[in-house]
Amino acid sequence: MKKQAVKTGGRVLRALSVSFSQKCRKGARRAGVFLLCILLILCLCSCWSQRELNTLAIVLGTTLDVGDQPDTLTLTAQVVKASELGSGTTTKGNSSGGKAYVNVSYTDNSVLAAVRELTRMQNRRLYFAHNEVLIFSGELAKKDIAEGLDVFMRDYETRMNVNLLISKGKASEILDENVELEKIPAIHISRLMGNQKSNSETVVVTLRDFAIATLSGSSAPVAPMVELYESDGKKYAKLEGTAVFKKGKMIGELNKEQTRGILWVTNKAQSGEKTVDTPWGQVTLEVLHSSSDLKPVKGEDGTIRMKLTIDVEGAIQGNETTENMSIPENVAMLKGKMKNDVRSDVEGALVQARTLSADVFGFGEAIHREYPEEWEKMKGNWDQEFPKIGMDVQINAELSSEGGLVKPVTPGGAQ
Amino acid sequence: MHFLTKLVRLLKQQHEQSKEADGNNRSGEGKQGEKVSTQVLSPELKDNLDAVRARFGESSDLIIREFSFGKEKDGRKKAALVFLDGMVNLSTINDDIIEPLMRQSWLSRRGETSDLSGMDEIRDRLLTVGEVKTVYTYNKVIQACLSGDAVLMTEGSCKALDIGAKGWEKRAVSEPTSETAIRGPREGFTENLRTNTTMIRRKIKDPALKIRATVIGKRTHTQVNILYMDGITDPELVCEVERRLKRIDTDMVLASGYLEEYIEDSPYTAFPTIWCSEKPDAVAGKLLEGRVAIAVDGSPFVMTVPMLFVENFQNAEDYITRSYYATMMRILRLVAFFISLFAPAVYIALTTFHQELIPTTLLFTIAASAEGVPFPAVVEVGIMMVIFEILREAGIRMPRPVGQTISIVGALVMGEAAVQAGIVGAPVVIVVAITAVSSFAIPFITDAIALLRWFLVIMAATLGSFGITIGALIILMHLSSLRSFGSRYLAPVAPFQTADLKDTVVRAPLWAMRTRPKEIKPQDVKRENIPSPNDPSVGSGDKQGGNP
Repeated sequence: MKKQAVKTGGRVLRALSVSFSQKCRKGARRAGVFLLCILLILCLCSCWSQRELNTLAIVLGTTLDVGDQPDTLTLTAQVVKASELGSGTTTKGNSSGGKAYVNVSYTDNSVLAAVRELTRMQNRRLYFAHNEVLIFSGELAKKDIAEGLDVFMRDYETRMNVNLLISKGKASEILDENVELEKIPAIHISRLMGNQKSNSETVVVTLRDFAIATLSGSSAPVAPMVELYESDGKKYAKLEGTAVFKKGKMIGELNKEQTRGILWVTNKAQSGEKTVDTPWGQVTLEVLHSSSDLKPVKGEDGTIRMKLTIDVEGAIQGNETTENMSIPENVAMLKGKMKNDVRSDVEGALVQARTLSADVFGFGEAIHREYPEEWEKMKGNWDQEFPKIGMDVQINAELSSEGGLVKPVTPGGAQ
Repeated sequence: MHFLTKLVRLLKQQHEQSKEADGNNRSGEGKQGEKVSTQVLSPELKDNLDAVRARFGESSDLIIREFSFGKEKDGRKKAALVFLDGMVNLSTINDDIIEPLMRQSWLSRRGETSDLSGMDEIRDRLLTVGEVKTVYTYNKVIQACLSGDAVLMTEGSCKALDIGAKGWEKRAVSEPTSETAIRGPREGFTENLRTNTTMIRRKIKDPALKIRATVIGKRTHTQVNILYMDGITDPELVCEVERRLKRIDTDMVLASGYLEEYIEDSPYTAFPTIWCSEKPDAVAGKLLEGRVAIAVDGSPFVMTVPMLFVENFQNAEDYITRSYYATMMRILRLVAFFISLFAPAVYIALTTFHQELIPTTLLFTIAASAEGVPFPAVVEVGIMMVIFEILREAGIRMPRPVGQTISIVGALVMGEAAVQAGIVGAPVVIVVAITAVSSFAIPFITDAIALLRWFLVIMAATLGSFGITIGALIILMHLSSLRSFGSRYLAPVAPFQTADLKDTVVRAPLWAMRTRPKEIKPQDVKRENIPSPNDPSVGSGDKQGGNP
C-alpha cells in the first residue's frame, strides 16, 4: 500500500514537471534552476570571515618582554590610529596632530593569552596580518625565544616575512622611540631594515630566515640587535650588532665588524664603505659588488677545512690625500689594503664564532652537502667539532673606477 | 489513490486540447487574412474607391483625386489617383502623373478601350515615373498607399497601377552621435532605409552586394533589408537570417532593436550577440568580412551577424589609426572591461575579507576613510553604484543643457559632499568613478557589465575572493557557451584560431590581415589584391620607382 502511494506520488511529480517544462521554455527553466542553486549556496555559507575595516586594530609592531611574574611575558602591540594617519579631507576634522599609534600591552602566561586578555580592554580585534616587526627583548631572548616564535609561525594571520629583531634593554621601549620622518616607530624600524643593504653591517632576518636556521640543527641563527640612544633628551632607535642564538636561546653578540664578517662569508655583503689609511692620509673606498663562495675541502689527512673565496670590486669614493691614487702602484696598494680589511672582518667573525662555538656561517650545512658521510660522523658533537674547523680565505680585490676625478683635488706629491 | 492518476491524466488532456485549440485559432486567422488579401479589384471604379475608403475609414490624410482623361470623341474616361498626404512627393504626382494623363492623353493614337490594353497604354506611354507596377487586389492597393506610392485606378479596369511617388520628410545624413570619428568618415545612417542601403552601396560598388527585401510586422509593415556579399558570405548564413526573420510573428517593428530580440540565439543572455552600428563604413567593413547586415526602416542602426565577443572591443577607428596605437587602445579597452566588471567587487572582497592583501600603507588610507563611516563596505559601494546608475540615466534622458547640470551636481556636489558628510569613504567614490569611466570605454557592453557588476558585488560580499572567482567562472562558462548565428562567441580565442588573432588584442597592420575571420565561414577566405609591402615583387617595383 505504502509502496503504491510512493509510486503514484512520483508519477504525479513527474507528470507535473513534464507539464511545467512544456509550458515554460527550456531556457527559463534552466535559469530558474540556476537561481535556485545560487540561493542555496548563499544559504549554506555565511559571511563568517567578514570583518569591516573599522572593526580592526591594525598591529604594525609587536614586542615581547619578560613579565614581572615568573613564567610570564609581556606582549606589546603597536596599533595604528588610522584617523591620524589618513590624508586629505576625510580626516581634516579629527586629526589632532597627536601620535598616530597606540601601544597596548598585557602580561600573561603566553602570547595568545595576552592577545585574548587585550580584547577585554580594546573594542577592536587585534589584526596581525600587517605586523612588520617582531622584537624580542634581550632578556627574554637569553631565557627562551621558542614560545613567542612558535605562535608567530603557527598562526595563519601572522606573516613569516616579519622582521625579527632583538633589543638591548626593554623591547617595548623601542616602540616608544621618537620618530621624525615616519609617523609610526614600527614602520621606521621596518624601513630601517630595508635600508641596510648599503652598509653591510647588519644582518636582515625575517621570521622565516630565522626559522630555517633554527630547523637546520647545525647552524646558529642570528638576528639584528636594536638599541635606543639619546639625543637632545629624545630617544631614538638604531641598529647595533647581531645576536647569536643556539638551541632557542641567545648566547652572545657580534659587533658590527664581526657582523660584516658574517655577511662576507654568507655572500650577503652587497655594498659598503671602507676607509683605509695610506702613508699620506685616508682614502675612502666603496664596495660596488662582491660575491663569495664557501666550500669544504678535504685535506690529505682526512680533516675538512673550509675554503672561502671572496671577489670584491671596489671604487675610490674619496681621496683626502694629495697623492694621485690612479697610478698603478697606488691602486695595487689600495687593493692590498682592501683585501686586508675584508680579511680582518672575516677573521674577527670567525674568532668570535669559535669562542661562542656557534656556527653562524653555515659550515655544517656546507659540509653536509659536500661530504654527507663525514657529516654523519661529525654532527653528533658538532659543538665541539665546529671550533676546530679551519678556514682558508682567498680574497680577490679589484678597483674598477676612480670616479669622475683622476687626480686629487689638491695637487702635489707623485703625479 | 487512483483519483490522483486520473487527475493527472485529465490535466494532461486539457493541456493538449488547449494547445490544439491555440493552433487552430492561429491557422484560422491566417486563412481569413489571405481571403481579404486575395479580394480582387472590381471593374467599377466607384466600388473600388468605396472599398478603399472603407478600409481607411475617415483618415484625413487619405486623398482621392478623381478626374477624367482621354480624347473627347472616344468618351472621356473616369480615373482616380489614391495616395496618402505627406507620404508622396507632390511634384511627382502633379507633373509626372496627373499632368500627362490630363493634358497629353489626347496623344494616344488608339482610344479603344479593352480594359487591359488601356492600363498598359497608360503605363507604357503616359506615366513618366521610374517605378510602376500593376496590382490586382485591394490589399496591394492599400499597401502601396501605405508605403508612399500613388495608386491609379480607372473606370472599367480591374487592374490598378502602383506608381512609385515616395517622398516624405526625412532627417538629413549627419554625424552619428553614438560613435564619433576622429579621422574616419563622419556620415551616419538615418531613419530612412533606402538612404541607409544607398550609403552602404556607395562604399561597396560591386554588383556582388546583394540586398534582399522583406516586410515584417502585421501592423507596421516595416521594410527590412538583408545585405550580404555574394561570393563572400556563407549562403547558409543568409538562409538562416532569412529563416529567422520569416519566423517572426509580431505586429510591430519600430526599430532594429525589436528584431534583435526575435532573432538572437540566446534570448536570456546579458551580452549582445548581434552587432549594430550607426556608421556605414563600419557596416561595410563587416559585410566584407563575410557578415550579413540587417537594415530596418525607421532605425539609424544597421545590425550585422554573426557577432563575436571581440567585436565589443573593436572600433571602426582602429583600422584608420596606426596599428601600434590601435593595439594599445585594444589592450586599454580590455583593461577597462576588467576594471568596470571587477573593481567594486574586488574592493569589497579586499576590504571586508582579505585585508592582508592590501599593501600596508594603502590599508592605512582606506582604514582612515572607513573611520566614522556608518555602513559596511558593500552598502557603501551599493549606494554609490545606485547613485551612479541614476546619474547616468538622468544624464541621458534629460535635454542636453539640463544633462550637464545633472553631471555637475552628481559628480562634484554629491561625490564630494557624500565623502565630507561621512556617508561613504573617499576610496569608494574613486572605485565607483573608475568603474564608471572604464565602462564608457567599451560602450557596446556597458549594459551587460552594469548587470554583471551587481552579480559580482553580491558574490564578493558573501564569499570574498572565492565569490569573485566563482562569479568570474560562471560568466566565462556562459560566454563560452554563447553562439551567434553558428559562430562561437569567444572565437578566435576560445576555439583557438591563430590566424584570426591578428584582429583581437593586437590589431595587425592592414596588409597583414590577408584573410577573413574563419569563424564566420566566409566562402572566400582570402582578401585578395592586398599585396604586402614585404612582397618581393611590390618591393622591387617600389625601389625602381624610388631610385630612377
